[in-house]
Amino acid sequence: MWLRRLGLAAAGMLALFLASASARAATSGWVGDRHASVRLITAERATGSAGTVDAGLEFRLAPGWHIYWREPGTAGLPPAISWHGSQNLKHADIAWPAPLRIVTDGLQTYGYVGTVVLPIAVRLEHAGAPLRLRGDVHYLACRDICVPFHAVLDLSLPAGIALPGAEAGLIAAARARVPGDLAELGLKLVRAEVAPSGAAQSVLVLALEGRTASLGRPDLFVEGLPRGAPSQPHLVPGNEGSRVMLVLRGIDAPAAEIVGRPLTFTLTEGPGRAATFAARPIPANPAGSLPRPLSVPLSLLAIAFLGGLLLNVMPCVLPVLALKLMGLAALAGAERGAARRELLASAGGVLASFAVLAGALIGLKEAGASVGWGIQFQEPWFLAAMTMVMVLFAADLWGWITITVPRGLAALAIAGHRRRHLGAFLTGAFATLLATSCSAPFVGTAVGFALARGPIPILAIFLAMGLGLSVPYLLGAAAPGIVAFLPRPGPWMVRLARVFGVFLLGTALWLVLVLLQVGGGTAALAVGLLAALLLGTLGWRHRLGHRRGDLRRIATAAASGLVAAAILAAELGMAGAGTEASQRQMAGAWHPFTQEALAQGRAEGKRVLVDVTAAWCLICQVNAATVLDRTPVSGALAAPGVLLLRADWTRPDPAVTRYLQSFGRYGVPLDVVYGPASPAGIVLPDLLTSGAVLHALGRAAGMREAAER
Amino acid sequence: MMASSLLPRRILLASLGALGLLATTRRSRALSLDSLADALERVNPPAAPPAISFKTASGVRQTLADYRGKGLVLNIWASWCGPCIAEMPSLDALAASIAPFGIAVLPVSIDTEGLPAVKSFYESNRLDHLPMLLDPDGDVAHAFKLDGIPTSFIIDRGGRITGRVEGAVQWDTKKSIAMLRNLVQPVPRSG
Repeated sequence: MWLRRLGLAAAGMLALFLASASARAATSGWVGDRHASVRLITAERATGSAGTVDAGLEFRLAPGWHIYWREPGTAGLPPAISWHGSQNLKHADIAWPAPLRIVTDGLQTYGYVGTVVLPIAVRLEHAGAPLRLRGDVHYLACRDICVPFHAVLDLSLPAGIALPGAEAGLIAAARARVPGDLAELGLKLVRAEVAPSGAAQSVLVLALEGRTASLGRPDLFVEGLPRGAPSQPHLVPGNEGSRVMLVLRGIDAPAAEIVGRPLTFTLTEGPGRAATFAARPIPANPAGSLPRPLSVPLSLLAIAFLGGLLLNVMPCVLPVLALKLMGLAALAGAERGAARRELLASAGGVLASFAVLAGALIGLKEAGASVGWGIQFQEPWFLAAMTMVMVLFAADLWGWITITVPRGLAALAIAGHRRRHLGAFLTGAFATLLATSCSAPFVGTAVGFALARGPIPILAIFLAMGLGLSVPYLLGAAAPGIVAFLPRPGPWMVRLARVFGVFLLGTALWLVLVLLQVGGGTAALAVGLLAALLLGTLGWRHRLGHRRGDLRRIATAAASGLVAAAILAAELGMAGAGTEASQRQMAGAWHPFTQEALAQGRAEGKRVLVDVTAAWCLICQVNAATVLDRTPVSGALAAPGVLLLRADWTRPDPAVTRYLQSFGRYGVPLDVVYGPASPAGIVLPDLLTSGAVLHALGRAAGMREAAER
Repeated sequence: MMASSLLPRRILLASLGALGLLATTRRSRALSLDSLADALERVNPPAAPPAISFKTASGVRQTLADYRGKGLVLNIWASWCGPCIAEMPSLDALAASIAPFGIAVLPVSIDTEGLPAVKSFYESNRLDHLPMLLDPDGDVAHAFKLDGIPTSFIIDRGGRITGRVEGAVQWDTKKSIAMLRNLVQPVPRSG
């Protein structure tokens, strides 16, 4: 009996202890329903002696439900809290973690989902005394319906040592999500401009510079607009260096109402990376620092045209040169009209393929894929297809097969010359495809400008390039009399054709070697063997002559099968290829490029050379062979204060693509020199010269070198 | 022979494929409102509404009795409520199409700012066929014990609630109008 009483007393004390322990827990109770509820929490279990307490308002929302940020957007109400009835409270300041964009039924709103804590910095009237917080919270939670919630939250903190409570971590994490300032993200606001767009709307453009390479798909929230909430901004490369522009369309007010208006912007880029800054927009300079989507400056079109023109003399177009010459020589003796028409057909082929290329890139860009000049060379299937096509064209030059129009289209081309036109058209298309592996000077600039803009500039610039590439044909068509000066067809043509056939096989071999780096050993081996087999099959078919029609048909079918097999083999063989490619590039003193390595090198005061290259990029190989790996540049690069970073774009790599885009570039090569005197980087010309590299290295060192002297 | 034409054809296919991808990834701009048929809760037997009143734009206080004989779509909303904003244009269109059938649409706003908020909302959203009815103290929402807004009530010509809709719906379809005309016909009381 006595023991039982002791047991009961012990149980009673335990219960009391537990009850008081929970009263000591630094939270109020949850108030709300199954959709949304809220409670007050504190990081400490007692008020301590500092006179401040880290508190927080914790919301718990069911899936699909959301509450709003301090600026809710087009609809919604922000949470509001009044502290009437609190004791020993001097003031309480709410901080707002970076919001989320919530778009429902076409309305742009800003808020939070799931669980969110709004940190509250509480200041006590009397430090060391107990605190009673009484929060009267009104907040709106919505899903299919909007429910205005009202919660009265009570939390008492005793006096005592401010030991951390269980919720301290929650509150600290919430504080980390509160946006800091731009400098913490390594960014700087250069300019905020507003321009009219239509009758009563405007466009806001913010120019930022600094560590813009890390801005992938940022979001921007605006406070202070007279009405409405714009949708997600577009990130557009700026006109120089590492500058980018955030374009906010759909501002529901005329520009005049926005100029000079105090606006607050919150930029978010990934979890825990957000910044808030203020700006008063100035009127945009109509001469156009603003990217106008539909306008393409004439100078850019001229640059694109020059780029296309230069592509004619690039080594990758060499195989097609053979075909062009064959075609032109075949015209010798033909009447001028026919010659002209054929040449125009080739020009048409080039222009049409550039248009198709532009269309494909536009489609890919709209679909959100990362685009760039030469990206098709990153795909094993393309390399395999091109290899087989090279073999086919070589066989054509050797007279083994005749590349003609497919039977279906032949029905339309009744007259003989129509069929020749189509052949000429295809030659032009083929020339384009090969040309895209090269990046001639100017092409990089033109493509970079185009791909950063919308569909119309892309089309315009690509057509200008196509015009440049088709200049030889157009010149010929303009003065068909020139063909009279060409030597008449004769045995020399056959010999030349044989030689060029060998050149094409050489190109096929090069493509297989590139496939080795892009797709791995298995894929390259498979495609190489299949290409050799194709050549053999076509040769055998030719040997058969016209007598064995049935065997010839088998051979033709086999040839088609081999082509398809090669493409499949390339893709399938790619499994397990990955690391091979990256390891090959990291020979010698070069380190693989990462943003961290770049930041590290710059922090150490080194000069950093970032070389963005790809195995299939011929200019890149030329740069490496003639400048980077040769004295005097190699000596300068081997110096102790120089860090060499190589970014490999042989295969698709979003980090490298982002780096390229941060310079407004959409293709390789790209070489940038960083140093103490040039933190934003000096961009080197596409085709490197030792003078350019050494000069940039010197400039990047700047004062440091002078001081060392 | 066939192999020769594969090259340009492949380019065409690739670009068509890319453009096809574009078509599918374009986000549909159309509002994804529920249909009335899906969202409607029939109130059977029809219930008497609570005693509510609201003010018109000119300050006149009205009750549901002022609309006796008409079928009513009573919609409780506010200008800060996203789903409410989404369905207002469709309520406006409904008001125009259903008036000939002796059915009125009554949107009652619980905006605390009252007339100025509602007026500017109607202007910027070009709502021409809806009356402005105000309940800035939120008594109507309270009287109906609403879970949230928008909530709409279908009231028959005899003044009784025959249907309840929580959330936003597409009001101005032929099907919805037919349902509403049906719902406002008072069912003869038995006995």
